[in-house]
Amino acid sequence: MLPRVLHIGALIGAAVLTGCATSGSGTPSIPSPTSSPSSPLPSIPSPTSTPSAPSLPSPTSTPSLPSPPSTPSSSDRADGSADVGVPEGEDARTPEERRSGVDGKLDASLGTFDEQIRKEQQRTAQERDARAAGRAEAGAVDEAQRSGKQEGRDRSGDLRSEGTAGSGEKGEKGDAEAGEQSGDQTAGGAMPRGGGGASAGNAVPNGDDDDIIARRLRKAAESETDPELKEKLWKEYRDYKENTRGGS
Amino acid sequence: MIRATSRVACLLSTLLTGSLGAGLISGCVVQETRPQAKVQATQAVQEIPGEERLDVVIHSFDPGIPDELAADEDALAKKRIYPDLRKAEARYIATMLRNTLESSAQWGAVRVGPESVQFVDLSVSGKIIESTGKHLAIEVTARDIAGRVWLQNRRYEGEADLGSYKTDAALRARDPFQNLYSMIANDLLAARAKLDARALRELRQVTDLAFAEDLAPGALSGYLVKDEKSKPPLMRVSRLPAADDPLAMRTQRIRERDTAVIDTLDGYYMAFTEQMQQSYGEFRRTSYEEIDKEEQARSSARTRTILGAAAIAAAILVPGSCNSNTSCNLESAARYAGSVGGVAAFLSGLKKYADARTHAQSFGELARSFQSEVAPQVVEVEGRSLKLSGSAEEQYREWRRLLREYQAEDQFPTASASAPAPASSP
Repeated sequence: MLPRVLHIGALIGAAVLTGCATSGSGTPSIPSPTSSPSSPLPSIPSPTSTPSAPSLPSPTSTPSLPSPPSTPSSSDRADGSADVGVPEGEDARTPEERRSGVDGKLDASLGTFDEQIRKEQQRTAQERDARAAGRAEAGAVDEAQRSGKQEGRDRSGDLRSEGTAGSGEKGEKGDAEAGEQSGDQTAGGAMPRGGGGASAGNAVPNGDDDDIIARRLRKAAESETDPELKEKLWKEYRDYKENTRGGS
Repeated sequence: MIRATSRVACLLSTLLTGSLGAGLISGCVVQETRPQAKVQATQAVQEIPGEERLDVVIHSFDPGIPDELAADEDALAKKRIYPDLRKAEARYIATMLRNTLESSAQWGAVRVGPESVQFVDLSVSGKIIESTGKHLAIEVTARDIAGRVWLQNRRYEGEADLGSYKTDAALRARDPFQNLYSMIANDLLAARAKLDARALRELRQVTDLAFAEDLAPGALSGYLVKDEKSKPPLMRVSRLPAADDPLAMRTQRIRERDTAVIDTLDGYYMAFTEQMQQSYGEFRRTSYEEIDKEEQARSSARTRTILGAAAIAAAILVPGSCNSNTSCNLESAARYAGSVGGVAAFLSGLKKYADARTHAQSFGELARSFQSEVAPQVVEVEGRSLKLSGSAEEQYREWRRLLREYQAEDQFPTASASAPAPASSP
């Protein structure tokens, strides 16, 4: 009878002393911080960076656990026995390790969030580009229709500048007002617009994977009205795309 | 005799003035509105140091729909308020102001964001008082993070610049109400000029510390104090965290994400504005014409009915004073002509009222049609904005919790912290 009671007592004791760890291993010797499911591993996948250890406030010397001083720290125990000094439910890891754990979680969370934001920004940029391209196309069609239909219409300036950024009006005779307007573009009234495309001989790469520089170049090329400059901008864009592809 | 003749002459002149005036004035109400002188936002002539360059968030404007009329579409339409259109304009105007501030190169990042965006150096909000293709009136308030009020419900209003309506290209190049945005930008600049470099630098620090305090209230509070002596009480920096303060460093990393969220929200508003810009410009131009015609017709109608009524009244009420056959005949003819002319002018005035109503209806149709076009876009941008803000808020809760956890760990005595260093206690 007594050995059976002792056996049950030992089992309960082992369970309690392991801090009720629910690792499922069943072995009492799990003081290692890596086995605790309540806090993640310090080496948790962090997409952005490793935990910022240098920023931790305390030096790397063994921190003192909030356990009685007489209790040997887990690192002292080479036999792997249960940590009898750690109260029930308490993490056996050092504060340093726990901080690293929190850092790991933070890094992972920031990384995931960065990815979400990046995707969202990319989506918005693509939508804007597509819309700009659509406007440019519509503008070009409209321009062609107007130039076919109307000559000497009252609204001078429509024909050339339709579908372009309005800068085409600069210096245009007979519409000083519109010329004045085009100079104000940067004053906030104007929005980024598309316009035209590269010449037929030079295929423009798909802009789906454009980064911010490529997007700007593309936008500048689309909205440029001077054919020569426009071609140069497209060339710049193509070169940039090729370089970035080559580099990656 | 002389007196009687002069009275008849007077009667005649009254009647003639009445009937002719009605005709003449009604024909002279065509106003020639010239393109306005352009107000430009003052551009920065030299680079502003980064630590003094304030970031600005412009909140989506209050659409200005009166609560008491909110449920009454007809009453709102009479005031030329179309709720969904106003909601679109509330975002559009904010974006236009953003573009103006950004292009002036006087500020740091300028973005449009919802009300929930709080931790920014300068917040600008506004309310639409009136918005048509012809007239825009808005009230603008600007506050910095420390609590200074830069602009308090300052009213800006103006007529559309006809130069912008002249051609499609001109419409794209410059907003018809660009002058208003430029005036606001210049007023903000004038308000900023009252702060010295130290105050500007402090503002930037207050923003960072306020954000940090919001994320880790226990650990990072105490760096800001409210200066009750100033009016209004201002938030000031009492001390700064150490450069290597681990919590401050972590909140800084989160702050970068917060900035990314605001950038993304700003992208939504920009996309929305680009999407509606062309059709909105055309709507404004057409609505300008309709409103202008309506107002002209109404003014003309008012003049004609008043003068017509005056002519009729004069024909009836001016006492007769003829004392000879000739003058009596003349007077009678004048009375007859006056009453006929008065009635004609009055009827013509009524017709003008009908014309005005027709133009008002045209404007209403136009506005309703544009409203139905833009309403789904408003819903979309608002939906996306809410979704992102909600998800970000959720994320901030998680980060707050992690920072609390980190802070709790930080409070554990460490070997170096708990034991007094021998070197420091000789």
